[in-house]
Amino acid sequence: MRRPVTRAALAAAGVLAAVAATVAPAALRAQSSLGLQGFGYPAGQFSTRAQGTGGALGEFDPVSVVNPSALLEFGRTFAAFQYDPEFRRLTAGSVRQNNTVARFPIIAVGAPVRRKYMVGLSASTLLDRTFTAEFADTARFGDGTLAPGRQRVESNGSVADVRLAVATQPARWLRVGVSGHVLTGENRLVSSRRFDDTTNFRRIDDSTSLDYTGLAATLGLAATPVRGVQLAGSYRLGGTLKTSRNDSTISTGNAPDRAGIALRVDRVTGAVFALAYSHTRWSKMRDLGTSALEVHDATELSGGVEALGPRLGDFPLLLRLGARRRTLPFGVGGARVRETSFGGGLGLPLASGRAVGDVSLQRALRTPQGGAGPVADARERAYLLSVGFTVRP
Amino acid sequence: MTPLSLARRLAAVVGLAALAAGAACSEQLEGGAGCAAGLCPVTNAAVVDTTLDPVVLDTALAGVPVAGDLPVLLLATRPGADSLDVRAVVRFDSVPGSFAPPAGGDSVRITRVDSTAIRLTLDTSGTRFTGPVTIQAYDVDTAAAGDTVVDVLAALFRPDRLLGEVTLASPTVTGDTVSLRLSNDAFAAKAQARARLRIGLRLVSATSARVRLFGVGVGGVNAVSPVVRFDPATDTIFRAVLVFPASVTPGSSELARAYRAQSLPVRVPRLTDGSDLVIGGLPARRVYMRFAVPARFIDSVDLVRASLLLTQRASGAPDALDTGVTVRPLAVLATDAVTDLRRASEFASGAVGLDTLRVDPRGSGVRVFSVVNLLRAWRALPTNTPRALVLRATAEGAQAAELRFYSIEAAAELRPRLRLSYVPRTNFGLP
Repeated sequence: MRRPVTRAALAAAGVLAAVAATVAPAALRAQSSLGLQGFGYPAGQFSTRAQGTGGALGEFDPVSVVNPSALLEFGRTFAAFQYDPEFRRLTAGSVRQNNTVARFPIIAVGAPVRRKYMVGLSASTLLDRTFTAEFADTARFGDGTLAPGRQRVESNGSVADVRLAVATQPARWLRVGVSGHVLTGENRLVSSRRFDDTTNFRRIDDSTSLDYTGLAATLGLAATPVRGVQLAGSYRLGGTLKTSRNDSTISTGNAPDRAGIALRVDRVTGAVFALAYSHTRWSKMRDLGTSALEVHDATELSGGVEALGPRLGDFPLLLRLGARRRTLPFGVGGARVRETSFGGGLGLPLASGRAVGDVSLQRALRTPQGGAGPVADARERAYLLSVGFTVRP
Repeated sequence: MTPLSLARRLAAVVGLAALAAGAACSEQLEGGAGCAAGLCPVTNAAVVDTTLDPVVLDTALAGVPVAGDLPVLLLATRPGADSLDVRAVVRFDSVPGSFAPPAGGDSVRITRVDSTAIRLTLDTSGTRFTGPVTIQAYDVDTAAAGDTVVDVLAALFRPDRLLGEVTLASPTVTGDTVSLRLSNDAFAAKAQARARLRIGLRLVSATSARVRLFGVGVGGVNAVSPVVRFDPATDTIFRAVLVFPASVTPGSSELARAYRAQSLPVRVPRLTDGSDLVIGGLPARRVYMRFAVPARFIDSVDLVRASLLLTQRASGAPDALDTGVTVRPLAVLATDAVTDLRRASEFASGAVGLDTLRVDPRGSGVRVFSVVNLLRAWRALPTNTPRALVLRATAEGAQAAELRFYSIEAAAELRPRLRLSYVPRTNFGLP
């Protein structure tokens, strides 16, 4: 006899999961990277399912933290989490470096309220800033002295997006959702510099913690003008975003606005096609960093398909393919960083459709646009694996 | 097709997740080579250099080391115009008048002695001579006033007071310990009269020579201190008796104890100090420097390097045997309640981790003393502790060579300076 999952239990799990996502968004370490500049790598806030379609289904996906109106897609209580390891290789001239990073980018729960509404609570990674870099370095002093040694910089943490969303369907062809976002999290940073000559040069160790607090709100819509065709759009308005250290505000900026639209076509039996476009005003974060921060607004274009595959038992496998091109928000060496990815995924219905296991794999190429010197020659290739699990009791 | 059970499907998903996690965990993390290519997500702040003229007071302090604070004794001679003659006195004011027979019974008065000798332990690191040298021992006991005054004692090194001598062929064959035979008759007379035995040591050589002996350490008599050994009778059944350094003059017992061993710089060629900062020499001097460093360099930056730059001028009386004077910087720990600088220098400590620097007294130019630990230590010292430094020779009082540096009274380019390399405390971590 199956033990029922209560809403209260799901809510508790959600709170715990949100805390976990905020405190420990990444377990492993990476180093230098094209994608890890500035305040970090934008994980995308897409579910494993949406990632399998290149993100094209993100505006329609209830687990993805993009469009709150999509919460109605499930129509019943759900809980979801996912694990996203990334394996990447950076090459810059003769430098070749393999890195690994693991993320737990989304944990979400949702439940219907008074039949007309769907409420969702989620915690997701907006910007992941986890890395470790240790390298040999020779310091040159003003009197010409050269002091070889090693430097180490390390960061752990992220800016997390804790979202409370509510969605409703005022008409058969229209779904509406709104959400409020609390942006929170921290970066725990460690820096050390030591010299081979310990007699004349003292080791320097520094550590600090940057805390983030901010607000945002999102309005999302999804319309079905004709059968089998759905349009969705969302707009996230970023509020104030602050960084603080030891309870003292050290910089104030704004959370990025994001506008996205998507088209889903479901007129071919067993297949769903989607296209999506979004624009994120990351430049609103400029005042949050130093004058050296290279931040750019970013566009994202993606397309994908989800189709029924062979049956495994009573339910069919879901097959997904997709591609995406986007600009990353933080540049390096005067160059913007473009990320192009393609990949696919599988969806495996479980427990008579009450649970779904999803897997996706993307191949991403990150290249600098502009810049000079070693940065211009840098290339970063990555495999982004995502494993998600959704329960719909 | 056989339907898959829920358990098997779950197991497949969990297994896939575990596989991914395992793959991630097993990935070999490499160094941050990309940082060298300018791709480091965070860069450490650059090191900033600045040079200050922070010395507000510098002076050479004489009268050091204080009596009793001399672990080694110097015997030195150098013939010629710049002649050098440094001797030493070791006091044995407790010569026994009787001894206990090995077989037991009442003590027996000493009437005759045999095999009397003073054992001297050489500090081979400070011993320099090329040809044979002779160490002579004199009876320098006197009832005259001023029995610690150099001139008074020097006058007692007369042939009629010679107790014995020993010739050392060369430092390489001498070893660490020298046994200098003393006159048995003279010692027996001292024992019978319960008189003081004060032995003056002098080095005789046709060429420049230097012998350094271990004296009576700050902690008291130890295994390397001079010691007189004698047999209290002329037959061989008696166990040898040892007499250790002891002094009953001058003044209080505490002061007298400090004079168990004394250096006698009888003739030392030297220039006047002038405004120079002099370290070492005989009589020895040490340098006291007080700094006024802006507080931000103490409290608000991360110091990487701090170097005290002193401009050396060649010593006017170089000793060919002294090719280096090792200077030890010390942090002054006395508060401003101690206004006597010499006394304050006695409270200076090397515990903060300042490294010594060996300097050739014949050289000139800028010498660099690493004092980064001193500046870091200042952060922890009470605010009423002067930011001060003492520079003293490690062989202070036992080395004739001296170092001379320009003081703050010299031309601007020659004055002491402080070069700081530091990292400002900025908004580390903010991209």
